[in-house]
Amino acid sequence: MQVIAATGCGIITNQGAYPDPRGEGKAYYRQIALYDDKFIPQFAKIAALIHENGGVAIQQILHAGRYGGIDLGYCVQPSEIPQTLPHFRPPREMSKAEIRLTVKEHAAAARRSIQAGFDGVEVTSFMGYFMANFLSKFTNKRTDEYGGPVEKRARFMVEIIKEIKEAIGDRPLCLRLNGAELMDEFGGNTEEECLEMIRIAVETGGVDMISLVVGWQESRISSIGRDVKPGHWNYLAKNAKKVTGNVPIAFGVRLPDAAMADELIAGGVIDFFEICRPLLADPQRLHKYAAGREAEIKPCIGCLLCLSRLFRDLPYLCTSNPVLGHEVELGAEPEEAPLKKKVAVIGSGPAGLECAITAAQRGHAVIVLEKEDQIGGQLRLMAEHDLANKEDLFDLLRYYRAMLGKLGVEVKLNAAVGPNFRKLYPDVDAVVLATGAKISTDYPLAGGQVADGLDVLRGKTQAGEKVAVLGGGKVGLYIAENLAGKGKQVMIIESEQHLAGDVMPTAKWRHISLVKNLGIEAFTGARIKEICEAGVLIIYKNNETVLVEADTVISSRRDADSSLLDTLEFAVDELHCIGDAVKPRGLYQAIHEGYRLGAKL
Amino acid sequence: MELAKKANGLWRSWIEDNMALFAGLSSSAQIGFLAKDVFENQGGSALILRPNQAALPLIEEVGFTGFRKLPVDIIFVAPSAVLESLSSDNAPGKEGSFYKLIRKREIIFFTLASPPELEEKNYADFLESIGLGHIGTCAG
Repeated sequence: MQVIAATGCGIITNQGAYPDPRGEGKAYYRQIALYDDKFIPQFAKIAALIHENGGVAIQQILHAGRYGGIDLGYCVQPSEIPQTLPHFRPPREMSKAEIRLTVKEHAAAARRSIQAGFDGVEVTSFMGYFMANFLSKFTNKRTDEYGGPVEKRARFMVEIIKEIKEAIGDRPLCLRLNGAELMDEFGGNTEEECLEMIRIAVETGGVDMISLVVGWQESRISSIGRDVKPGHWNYLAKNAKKVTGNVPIAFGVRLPDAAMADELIAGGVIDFFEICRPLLADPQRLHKYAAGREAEIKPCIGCLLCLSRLFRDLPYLCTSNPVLGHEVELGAEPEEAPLKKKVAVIGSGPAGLECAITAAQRGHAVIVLEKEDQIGGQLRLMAEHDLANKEDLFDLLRYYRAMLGKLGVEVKLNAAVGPNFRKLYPDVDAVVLATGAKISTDYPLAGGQVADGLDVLRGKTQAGEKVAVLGGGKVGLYIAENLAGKGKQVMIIESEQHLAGDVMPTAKWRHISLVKNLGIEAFTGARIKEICEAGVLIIYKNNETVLVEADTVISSRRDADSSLLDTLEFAVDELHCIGDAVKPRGLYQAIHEGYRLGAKL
Repeated sequence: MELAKKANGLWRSWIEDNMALFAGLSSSAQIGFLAKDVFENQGGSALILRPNQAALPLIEEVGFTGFRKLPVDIIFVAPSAVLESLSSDNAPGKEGSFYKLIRKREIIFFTLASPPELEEKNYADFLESIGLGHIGTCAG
């Protein structure tokens, strides 16, 4: 919380607290609660921290409605509408008495927020939470005064506004409302109806800010991931501005770029720039931006590791920021090294670069040795071949370049390391092997050949027109998608029952969709018998031997490239190995291992 | 009524062609298939698939008066026109077409069972194979 309070934000909205003692509003494990006065002292500490750092403190009240009841085995809704995602709980319709009780509970939670020292309160109907369930014609089928046309569906919201204002007087009240639900196929509100709800909220009086959000958790359309271009949803803010009058709009959906936000504010489209995930990636972002140090801002790459963990009941972590969630044991910043060393980092993929930068921040003299003519390793290769938003990954590479320059890290390109290492670098105290992974082409050959998948991506090996890719993990999928995108006929052969086994849950759907949309044929649960001249012989369903015809067979199977361990074992005082060179995994592990080693060298 | 009958016929044909998809479900798993207008009007008939229950009909047509009374774990709903495109798709593996139609939001899905019930009945692999294992605005 100290880190969040010190971000430099003008307004800091604390995590949503559920307002009911039954836990019907509780969305996730470890969610904070505000249904009793006994919680006030803990909230007071948070409000004080925000104030000490000069921020305005707002407490959010979050009743998860359709997504709530995590400890209960059921959830409450205006109407009993079944779930459209398998991980939420069956619904129960609320009685009018229960609705009125819940309104009172919201107001009581708001009152406690102010008592704890918060300056104001926010109620969220973001992402299909309770208030959104009343507003939407998908989840509100009531025939009483809380259901029906827009005005009646808005009744719950209006009651909440009035009760809370009565509880908190002239303290600010912010509402988070959808500019779009993205629930059309289920009969959800149209964008026009969402606007109408915003208008009703404003005309009710007592709302001091609208925080505009997009999508429900169960929407099939991505709203904040890497496949959505930054700025895509800005039009919704423009539309909302037409109905909000003097009530300011806060907005930040897929708006990671402060310069773009500045333009929107200058243009009168929004009044406040809302920011969450980019601050998780770099809590110092605003300070760096204010100081003209934009190049040093660690980017949020939009991978959604944070939310994919949160929605699986795990504390959130960040791919870009290894410190997030570990501030106590790692410290917010790397500490100065007690003994300064000369460190050589071999390999300039994300693990090596992260380690080099962290070590340099601690005062070590760092040299990076890269065998290729550019830095970036497989991060660069994946960015070049990413079919989502390439710039997210390139932003990370740009950050690394900027930090290497700022910290004076020497980078030697075309610098393959061999047995003469000690002769070339006699004064090195510690060596970090961050040599990544290499492709294994070790398959039973019976007249055929197997190409290196990374070489295909690098353009060193050309694929034919009919290609079999061995392995349906993330690297195999990148290769297959890129070749299929060039019009080649592509088949994937995977031993597991499903593709994308090593892909983060939030990105699985993208790859699987690409496989389906690009017409890539997948042979899952298949065992490779041999690679022959005509293609790949596999043992497939019902133990049958099947020939997958192909003029090019490409391997995507990665092995750790740690061959220099033996070479350097007796050549240096201190030898470490990190990232894919230990075991091929992903960007998250590479960055985190790089940081952790850099922080303790 | 005619439309619903036609939709049920199309669903039945698709189910019969894709029984392999349901092979891993437990013996107590039951899945509902409906035409969109039947679902919306809460009237007409639905199909119930019991893929692994030897004692009961594999596919049974039952009256539909609302999802609460339908004894199933999950429901698929689609308009007849979409079902026609599903059954006329000659692409290899109709599972792919089904997946695409779910992604395109033309076939919609509801779950009536709780997460533990779905787990107990081995739905995880099935839901993943049709793209419903990892879906949602934050997951795409």
